[in-house]
Amino acid sequence: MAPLWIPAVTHFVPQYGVYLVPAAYLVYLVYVAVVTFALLFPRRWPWSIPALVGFLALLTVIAGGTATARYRAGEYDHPAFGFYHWTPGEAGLVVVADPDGWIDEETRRELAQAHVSGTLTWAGSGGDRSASHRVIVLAQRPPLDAYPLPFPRQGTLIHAFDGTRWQSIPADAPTYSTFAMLRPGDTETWLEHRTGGGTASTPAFQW
Amino acid sequence: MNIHLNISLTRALPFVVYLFAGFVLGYVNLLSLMWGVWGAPVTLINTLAVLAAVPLFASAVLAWVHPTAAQLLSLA
Repeated sequence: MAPLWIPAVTHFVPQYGVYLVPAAYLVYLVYVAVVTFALLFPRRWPWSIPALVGFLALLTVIAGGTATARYRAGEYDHPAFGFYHWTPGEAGLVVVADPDGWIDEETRRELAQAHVSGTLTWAGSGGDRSASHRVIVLAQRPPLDAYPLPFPRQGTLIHAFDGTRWQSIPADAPTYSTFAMLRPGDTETWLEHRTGGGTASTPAFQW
Repeated sequence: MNIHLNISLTRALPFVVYLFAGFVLGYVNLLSLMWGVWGAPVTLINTLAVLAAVPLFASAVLAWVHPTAAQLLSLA
């Protein structure tokens, strides 16, 4: 039954975008119940109890290892995304539309330090603006190639595209191994990210 | 006419348990595998998980003949 319960245990560990109904938790209890039953009834071997203890210990190790791996990969620090059309200008930064206030004082300061100037126009967003981890994308033109957006380990990470090259602000911001992807489309640029149960794509920019 | 059913608990109970588990766990793993249609990563173990329901069904049948062998097969 190992091939049956190993995926179940890993599925039981929380994932971003995956919500298990209470009945699903009961189904997972069936695994433990059946293994316990098969070890003890109708015949109980001398090794039945040690095997049961080992089975439960293995469940704990697999669940713990999966949770640790997901934590280290940034599964539980999924960022919110904000997208802005960036029109270059001579000096200073003007934000003409920012309904949720993504470009706050700290973000402005970081953009100024990176010599980003011009006009920013809100294009869209995904997730809650008040999230502890945020990714802001500025683009002057549609990116022609897919571009990975790694999840920041803390605060806000900005990606600015001037039409030819990408710039991360701050440049040395620590990131997780998990990332979302910006993918070019016909008239849109799409944000694609894994949700545990599949791949979700939402429009990031309309061009 | 009297019909006497002589069903042993040591054979009937494992049959019911393994059959139920085979259906429920196989169905749940099949649903998990089908998430691949939406782009979820599918590994070999997902496929094996669905196929692993087969030994459980076999255990249910075997429980009528040899309950101990059915026990071992279900644990395999």
